[in-house]
Amino acid sequence: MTGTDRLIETLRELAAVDVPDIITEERGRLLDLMIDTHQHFHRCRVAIAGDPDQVLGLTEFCRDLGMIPVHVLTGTTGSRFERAAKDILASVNPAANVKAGGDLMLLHQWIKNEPVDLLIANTYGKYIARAEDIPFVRYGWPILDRIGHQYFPTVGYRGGLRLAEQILNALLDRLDRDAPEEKFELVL
Amino acid sequence: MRQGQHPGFGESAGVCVLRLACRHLPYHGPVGCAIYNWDIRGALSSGPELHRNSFTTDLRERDVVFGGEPKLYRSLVELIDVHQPKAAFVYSTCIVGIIGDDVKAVCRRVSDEKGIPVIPVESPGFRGTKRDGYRAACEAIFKLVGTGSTEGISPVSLNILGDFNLAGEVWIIKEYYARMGVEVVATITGDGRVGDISRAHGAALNVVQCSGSMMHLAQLMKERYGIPFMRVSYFGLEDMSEALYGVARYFEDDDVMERAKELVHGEVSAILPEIARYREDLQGKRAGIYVGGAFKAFSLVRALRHLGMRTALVGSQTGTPEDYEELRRICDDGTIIVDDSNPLELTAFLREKECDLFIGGVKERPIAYKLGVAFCDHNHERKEPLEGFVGMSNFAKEVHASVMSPVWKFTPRAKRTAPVHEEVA
Repeated sequence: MTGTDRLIETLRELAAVDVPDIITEERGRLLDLMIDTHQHFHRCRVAIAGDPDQVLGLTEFCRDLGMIPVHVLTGTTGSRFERAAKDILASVNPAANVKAGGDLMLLHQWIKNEPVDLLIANTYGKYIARAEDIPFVRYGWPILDRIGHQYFPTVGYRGGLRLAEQILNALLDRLDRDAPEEKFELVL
Repeated sequence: MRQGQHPGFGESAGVCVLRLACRHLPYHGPVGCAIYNWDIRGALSSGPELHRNSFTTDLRERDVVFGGEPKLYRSLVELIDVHQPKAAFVYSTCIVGIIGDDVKAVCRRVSDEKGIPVIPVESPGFRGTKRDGYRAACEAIFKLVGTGSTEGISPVSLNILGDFNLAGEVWIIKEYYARMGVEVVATITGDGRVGDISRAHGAALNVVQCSGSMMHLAQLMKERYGIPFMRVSYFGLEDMSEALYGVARYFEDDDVMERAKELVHGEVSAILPEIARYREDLQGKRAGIYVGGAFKAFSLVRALRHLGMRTALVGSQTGTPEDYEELRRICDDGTIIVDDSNPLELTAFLREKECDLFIGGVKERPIAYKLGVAFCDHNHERKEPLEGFVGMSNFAKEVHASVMSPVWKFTPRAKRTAPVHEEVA
């Protein structure tokens, strides 16, 4: 949300135009969904891994949703990433693990030391997700074991809608799977 | 049309009796009427779970034209044979009220045959309002009271009325009274048992929560058995403590009072640090409250004060003029007090008062969300206990979680109330 807002704001200023209603409405839909579901995302601990630009955007979005990014990692080297990530996390989790030039072995170790409620990564993340029994959302590149990337947006407000839906589904599937009988709900 | 304005009649009657765990209540009517009480409230049971089922006679066109009594008779017999409940309550729905089935006669017949109380509840929706529904339910339950033996009941004993054991709350309260040394005879109706209710007239005192629903029953018990009642609330620190102290004072027993004091002191000290932490973030924020009965509103206003929050708007569906006088006394000047409001009004007031939090039931949630206001569901669908001391801690946590969520800063309301210059990351 913040990321897309920033983009739209910048474009608006540079081009000196009004933001068309159709974009404001898209933003409204995303905001609506975020509000309606904020209790499910609340304080959910998440680990994020992937390419730097995507990871920064994801971290910001997870923060906007009320989640707590705990481990934030990219394989690409460079200190700008670490600074930018720490800035994003300053208000929500200044003690988060942040690393550029890291790898999945490190991520797995981090997660073993401090477990999370959700993992967002490319397909390679599935091994960690399975070993630690964590809900898993695929994002980034490559995604080798699922389809649809060419049809469904992953950026912008609509991308936010889809991503929020995927995260929510992963969390609620887990909730349903592990719920004791009296907490197994019809309406969530 | 009356029914449209007060859809709660039949439903409210069902709500109260619903929680008795070992009886069943068939709805004599079309299948749709039964859905409103099918396990949607978080009432838990320590034993039989019959109350989580909903039974209906599924009246169809043929029954409406030719009369539903044979079907009712057959259904009752079948249900009683299969489930062996200790009692049965039969609810009439609007349809039955119109076609004029003699539910009383059928019930009497089945009761004679099967040897258990079969009690009709006259609850067709068009008959009246939510309050009338509660009365009908109280009358029905009252028929069970006095049918059992009161041998062995301690003189220091009470019944808990008007608690529905949502999320196990009645167990929390029972435990407090037990620690004080007071015996709890019957809980009406949360985790209730027909056997206990039949002995309820052996208790020395009735403590009534949610006075809207169960006050009538308390009055009936006073008239017939001379059992006094006191109104209590289990929400918030003061009200919860007062509920315990009030009982101790009634029994004029020093031991009971000592134990009550110890209990209160221990529990409150345990949660105060946590409440203080939440208060830091919530200090100065404004809340709106809209609940069914005004009694809950009193407790909420006080509980919110502990969190440093001001109540700017408060209302109820069924409050009396006395209730609103009391509210005026405990609220700050300038608080808007409403009675029997509607979404349009609530929206306007929430906006006018720039509330940061709205507390209500499931029907109020969308209003809050659309306005960009945080929400706490304080109604019967909840799954977390909000009563007792642990309940206060849960309440604080929930309020804090919703109000402090980052999602609100993207809403128009945040932009209206935010400082003028916002730094873009």
